[in-house]
Amino acid sequence: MQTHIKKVQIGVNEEGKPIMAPETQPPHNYVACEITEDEYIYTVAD
Amino acid sequence: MNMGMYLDGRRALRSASISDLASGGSIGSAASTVDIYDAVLINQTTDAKVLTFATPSVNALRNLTVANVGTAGFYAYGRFIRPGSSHKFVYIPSVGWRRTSSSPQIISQSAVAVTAPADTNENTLATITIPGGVIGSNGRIYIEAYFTVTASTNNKTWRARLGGTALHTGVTASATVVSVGTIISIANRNSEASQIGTSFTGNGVSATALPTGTVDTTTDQTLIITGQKATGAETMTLAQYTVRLERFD
Repeated sequence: MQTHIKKVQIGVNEEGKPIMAPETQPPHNYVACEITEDEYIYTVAD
Repeated sequence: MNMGMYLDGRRALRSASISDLASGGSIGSAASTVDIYDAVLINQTTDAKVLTFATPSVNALRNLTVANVGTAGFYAYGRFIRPGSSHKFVYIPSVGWRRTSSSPQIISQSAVAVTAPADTNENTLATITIPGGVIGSNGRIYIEAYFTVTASTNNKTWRARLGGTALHTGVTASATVVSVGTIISIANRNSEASQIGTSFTGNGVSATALPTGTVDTTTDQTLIITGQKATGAETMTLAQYTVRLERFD
């Protein structure tokens, strides 16, 4: 089963670069994670 | 509930079953929990909440075994109880509830590889909720993290941020380095709103002073481990990490 969480900017770092993070808390038991241009995709074991 | 049946001549703990406490807080009144039971079985399904126990009606020493029969970890009196585990707490008269072990414990870990995307942003590769109050005034969060990186002279930077504040920064820019192991310690300095972190890389030395913070750890904070590349086309992967809670009180 996959959980898609929107990727959002949570701040700007010391170098002026965006700090990106999942919008909500990820599942704690994921077995795979892919970060795309606009989302985090977590795979959770069925 | 179990009111104390005998199994093979030994009395089973008198136990109560408690449903998920979605907001954390008290497990129930003294009269319905600690006054009459030796143990509670908590079916916790909401992650990273802090639970408390009522003051017993009689001011006397007593034990309470707390078992997590749910799917999400919770905290109580500085102790993390992950699913499928238990811990014994003791009520000390006129002092309060205390955990019976102060040993360091793992509160989060993963060996699932998480690769930063092909850009130069600072990307979060791991997210851990640190509930308010669990570090304490003199506790610390101790992290071991291991990365694989492209061997190049371009910067690959990793950080640990607590509540947004960078309390560890490390960089590698070597044409021969393909993996990095790092130790990160974020310690409260006799205050729950004052921290000191770390800045060294894998070899333990740095030209950068140790970072400090003023994050209020009496409220929930998010700990993130991030990766950033100077060249987006290169790779940086968080291969594994462990986060430990070390209390000293």
